[in-house]
Amino acid sequence: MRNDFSRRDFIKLIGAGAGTAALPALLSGCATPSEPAKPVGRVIVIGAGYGGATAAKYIRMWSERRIEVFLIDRNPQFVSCPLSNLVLGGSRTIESLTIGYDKLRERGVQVIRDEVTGVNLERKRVQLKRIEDLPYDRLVVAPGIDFMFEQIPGLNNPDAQKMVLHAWKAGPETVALRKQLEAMPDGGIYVLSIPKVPYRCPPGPYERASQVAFYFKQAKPKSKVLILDGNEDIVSKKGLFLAAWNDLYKGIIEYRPNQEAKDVDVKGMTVKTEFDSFKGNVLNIVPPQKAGLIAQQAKLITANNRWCGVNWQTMESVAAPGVHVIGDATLSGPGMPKSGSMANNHAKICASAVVALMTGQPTNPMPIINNTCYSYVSDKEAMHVTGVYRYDAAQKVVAPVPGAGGVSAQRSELEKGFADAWAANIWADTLS
Amino acid sequence: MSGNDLTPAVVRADTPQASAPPDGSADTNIKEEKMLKNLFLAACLAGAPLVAAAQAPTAQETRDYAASCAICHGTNGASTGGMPVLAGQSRETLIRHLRDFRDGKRPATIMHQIAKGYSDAQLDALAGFFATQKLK
Repeated sequence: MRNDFSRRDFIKLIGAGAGTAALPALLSGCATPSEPAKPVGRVIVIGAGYGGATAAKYIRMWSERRIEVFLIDRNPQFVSCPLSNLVLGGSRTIESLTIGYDKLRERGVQVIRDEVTGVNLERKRVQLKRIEDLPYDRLVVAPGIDFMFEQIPGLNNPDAQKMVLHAWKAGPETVALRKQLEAMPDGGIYVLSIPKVPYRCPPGPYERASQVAFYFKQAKPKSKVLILDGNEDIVSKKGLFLAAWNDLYKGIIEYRPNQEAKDVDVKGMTVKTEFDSFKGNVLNIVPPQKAGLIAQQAKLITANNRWCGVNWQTMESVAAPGVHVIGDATLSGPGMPKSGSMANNHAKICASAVVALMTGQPTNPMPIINNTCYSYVSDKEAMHVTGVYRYDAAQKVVAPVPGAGGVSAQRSELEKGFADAWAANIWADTLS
Repeated sequence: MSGNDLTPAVVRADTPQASAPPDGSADTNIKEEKMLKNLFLAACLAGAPLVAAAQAPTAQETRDYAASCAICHGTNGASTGGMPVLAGQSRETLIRHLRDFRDGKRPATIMHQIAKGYSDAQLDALAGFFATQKLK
């Protein structure tokens, strides 16, 4: 007997918290031979940042709790990269950017603090450091980025990495960099090295330069910010950043394009580029990046030895059926930033597809997402960049919709308020 | 994409009838009533909810498109503060605001740039989705 009503009730019963342990008993009690043996499946999500946490939540929400979700991360709490430059500027604490996973647990997401050591694609199992392997029906990989330290030989050892920080993942390094800035004498030079695109958060380095300049202006006004950009020009919000630097930080920020870091002398506190050397009191090198290590181990990297190619209708890996990759680790589409907003949006394309595929429904043929990134140039003013992206069947990517999107007319206190509200809302959307 | 500003999708039979905005906004005016009348008229002339349904995004697409708005406006439009709440707003008010943003008739810092990325039928479907969401 296939009765939709009883089937739904059955599902509700499981969703209400009977748990998987009770599943076989329930099945033997009420399932008929024509019923599938496993009406609910399990999704494992690796990585609980903007992408992974959102995917876990939306799979639970859109499957009406029918799909079991495990969310695995080595960190006990979420720390937001967006807004973390404000910790360097001094107007935010790292604690104010740190949020627990309790509200996801209330949704029935099983949050596990552990380190994924490998993925067995054939047997569909995730290997973990602390607990036994976990089987999955579908896998979502949201590993974020890892750094290619080998491209900057002097930085390619743990001791050097303690002296010269990237602080490009929010957390202890953010706080440590702030301490280095506090310890720096007035009149010192802070050197910020930016890698070539693509890297996580295109406007992030320029926001960081602004925030450090904001701090110097108040606390040590004789100090300088030297930006060594690996790119030929400012990558994002150029006019807005130049205006802010001119209006607010004249004489503090110096910008040098085409100065990709090739090496660093940690003892001599010197960044070496192709033709020049730059000495500083605090060096902050953001190295080139690639998909997080677990994507590499699972053989999901398909582009330039760095990024994971995906089907943009479903976020399913082009290398591994049943495995979805989201967030900064993906091979970005044209004009698509690696951002928290984007990762959150990738997660929703992924969640929609996962729920559809696991319940026998068609997937959404034309995803449309929008990206919004705010940058704070002081403690009072911010500005945005936004874009709308729609699936393009010819290019097979989620591509910018012509005529939509843009940047702020000018930085403003009004948009600083919106930036704060963006943060509060996306954190709630991702984590509760 | 629909090039018709008065696409019949705005008066689909499966969405609530036009009524005074429950959002307490004081901007219900003659202009709006006129516009709604025109919308109804256009719909009647077009006379075809079936045509509208063909153009409009599916329920799944609408839900997915609305989810993207959540990065600023909260899950299902239930903003935690600092951004307008979309959940439970009048559908007609939302449609009007979205179209006015898109057409540059309503001042904005960002929404004029975002609204341009969607067709009439998509904007209307989004408005319909948020109108039916409950504010928890």
